[in-house]
Amino acid sequence: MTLRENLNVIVIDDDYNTVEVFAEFLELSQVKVVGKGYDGKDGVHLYKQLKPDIVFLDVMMPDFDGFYALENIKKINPNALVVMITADLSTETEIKLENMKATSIVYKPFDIQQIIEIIDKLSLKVVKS
Amino acid sequence: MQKEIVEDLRQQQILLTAINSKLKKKSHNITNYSQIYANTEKITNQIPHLQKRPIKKKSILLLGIILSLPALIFFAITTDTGIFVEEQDSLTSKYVTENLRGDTIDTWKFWNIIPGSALTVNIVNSELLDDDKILIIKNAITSYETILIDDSLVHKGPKGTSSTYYLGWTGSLKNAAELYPTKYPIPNNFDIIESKRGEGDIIILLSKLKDTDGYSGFTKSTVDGNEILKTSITIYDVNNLSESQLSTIILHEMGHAMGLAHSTAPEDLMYPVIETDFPYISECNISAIAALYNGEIQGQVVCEK
Repeated sequence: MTLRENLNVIVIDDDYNTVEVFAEFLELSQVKVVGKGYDGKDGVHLYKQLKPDIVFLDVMMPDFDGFYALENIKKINPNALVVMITADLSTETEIKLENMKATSIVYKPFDIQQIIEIIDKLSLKVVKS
Repeated sequence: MQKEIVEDLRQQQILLTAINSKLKKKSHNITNYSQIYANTEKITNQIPHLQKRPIKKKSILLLGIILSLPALIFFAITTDTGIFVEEQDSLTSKYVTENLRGDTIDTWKFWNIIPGSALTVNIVNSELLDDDKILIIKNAITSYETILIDDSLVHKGPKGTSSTYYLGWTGSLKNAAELYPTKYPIPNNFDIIESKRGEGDIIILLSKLKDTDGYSGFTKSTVDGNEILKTSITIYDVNNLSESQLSTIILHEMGHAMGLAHSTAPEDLMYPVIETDFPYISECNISAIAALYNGEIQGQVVCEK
């Protein structure tokens, strides 16, 4: 019931510890973390370079934020699977992310099981494409 | 930004607890994550104080946390003494995850059979179970039986409205074939055999082994393009499954074998973790099958009811 081990993902967040701990958790869940970045510019650069199956992208980051990265990743690949992670519960942000075709929005602090379910669900899309 | 710092710390605590739990499962020799857990708990306890302090002090404290966490992680991984913290109930949720698409079932791959022909289902290692349990497996595949369930019980409608659910795939697939004209014929005949040689289209391998990731069932399909050529279902730890668990797992895995992917609705048979009290084949599952065999292989079926 899982195809997780076939996935390559990147994790982008301005908080170094969050990136490290989330990456560690993903690796233990059999998901391969091929890149880590700390702002939106890193995210776009890593996407271009590594073409990961899924991008986990923080929204609020200084200088180059998640909106910047999402917009530019979608320019590279309109079908890119980008899971936006944020503590911003505002409707405005939600609508903006929906309009920018974010694959999913996850609110911090997120439930581990829900993240796994999103990964498993997206893994089926990766197999299909 | 300040709010996110607090949420980041809470997030790290949740992740570390999950890592701790996973490592505990993997090896009883890797310990001492309690150190990290205690540290993050201490950090979380400091959050109210932190929120009241001036920004400069916050930055200094956070810098300390940032510098100390990698060292603590390294310490926990490289030592084998200490006591594990009790496993936290991280799955009970006060957290929110939102899927933008609502409740859906993805369709995936399909069988391309000659109209009217049957798929052969081979139950391998049937001697592991008694006749009653083998009959339960067979019924989950061949039954035509239906039940009516009040929609309010599965959060699909108001009290007093109800939906029909199938207890076996043959009945539901015949219903799908009758209701929907499809581009490819929907398989709805199954020949069940019990052989060790691995012949047949769908192999159900009964295993005494436990899956290390805790899965009860695993379905793997060999495909050519989008067509399924052969499907192999493994049912783990089969001796310790109750009759209802066995029936549910067979229904779920056979859903995959027919081409369905997972559902996003927790009440649905095809949800990745079976949580529903009514794990039967729903009208939504039938619609998804119809869409799949109509060539909508990239499609999603939204469960409106």
